[in-house]
Amino acid sequence: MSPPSFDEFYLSSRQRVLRYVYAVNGDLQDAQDVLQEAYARAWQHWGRIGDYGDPEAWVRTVAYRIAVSRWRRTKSALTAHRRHGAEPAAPAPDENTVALVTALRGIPEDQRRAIVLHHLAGRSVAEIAAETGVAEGTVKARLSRGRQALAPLLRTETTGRRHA
Amino acid sequence: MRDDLDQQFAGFGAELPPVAWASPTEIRRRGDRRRLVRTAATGAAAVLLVVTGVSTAMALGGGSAEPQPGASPQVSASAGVSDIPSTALLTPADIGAGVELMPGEVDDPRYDSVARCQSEGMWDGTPKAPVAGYAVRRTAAYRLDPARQTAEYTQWVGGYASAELAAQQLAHDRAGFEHCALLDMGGGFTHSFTISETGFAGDESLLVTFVVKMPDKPDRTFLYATFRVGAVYAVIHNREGTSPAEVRQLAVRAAERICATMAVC
Repeated sequence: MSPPSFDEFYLSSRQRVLRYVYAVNGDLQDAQDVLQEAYARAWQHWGRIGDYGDPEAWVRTVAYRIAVSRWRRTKSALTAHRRHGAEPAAPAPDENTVALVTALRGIPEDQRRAIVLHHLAGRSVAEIAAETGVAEGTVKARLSRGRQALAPLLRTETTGRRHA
Repeated sequence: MRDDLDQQFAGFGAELPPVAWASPTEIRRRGDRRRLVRTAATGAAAVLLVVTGVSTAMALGGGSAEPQPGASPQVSASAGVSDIPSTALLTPADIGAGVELMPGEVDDPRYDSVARCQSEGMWDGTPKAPVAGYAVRRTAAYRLDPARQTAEYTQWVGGYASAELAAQQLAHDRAGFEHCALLDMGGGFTHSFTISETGFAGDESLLVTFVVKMPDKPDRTFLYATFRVGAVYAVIHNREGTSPAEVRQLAVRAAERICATMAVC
């Protein structure tokens, strides 16, 4: 059994990881930028990452860190930019996706990450614990609180759009 | 809620707008640029330290001459290693027929599972690695299959300011392998280290067996050889399937090359 080449890995995983990063950071254009940086870093360390079990989890983790770092750095500038009516550079995704992303942005970062890893990336509690570096109990608590926090936001979002 | 959310996520991103992806070549080029920038930055920092050291020595000695442009970092012969010639590293032929050198640098040896074990409090990191780290390094990557983009063998060689510092580094790494012998990585993955043999090359050496266990997949086993020759510490990573005898033989050959080309034996 040989590990996948970097090119194979990149081509086969990028769309999945893009959905994850987009769900977490809520900006498709930024998710693309972040992801390209994460894959470039994966290539830098490919000799090690490529041979160790789950390179996709590595890219997801690095992409998440880059996204959070950028988000914190640019949060205020972006908010001001959007307040003045700037249009997003990329075309908008479908309505349901936008509704879910909007709702996700309304819950805390840690809960959002756990929810997205579990429900979108299909990771188990144990896998999320390993990927995010926290105890399984913490993951369970984040999932539970995240679901509770999302429920009203999703109802609002869905109802609002349906009756718009 | 679980079912509701699963349903919500089921179609998530199914209709994302077309994405203009960078080609794999562009991504790799970007990664290579990052590596070059990092290497250049490390080199610049080293030069800065050397210039600072030289200036301080001049000030203390009352000298007024400027450092010579292009002067290489010098550590006194008694202190350790100031240069590692390319001939100190294994040649492709040393490893085997059909092996070729690959372009690029090899990262400093770092074991993610050991780092994780340390961060989770399973090991306090003692004995500590030398604070100063290596003074110079040289690396090489090799492959047997020309179609592969990743190295099948790598050699990392670090020159320290003294044999004691190199020994300190090896002792630190050894303790890491011993304290982090088995780590549950979650999701059914485990990483394990076993020091299978010692004392087969150089002044001191370890043959480390690293096993990755994965759910529903065969285990993967890699052998590392780490050894010290005077103030030089070296790590050889081998392709999967390399036998312990081959690894020992490579380490012995690598130690001999270091002895033959550097004044450390």
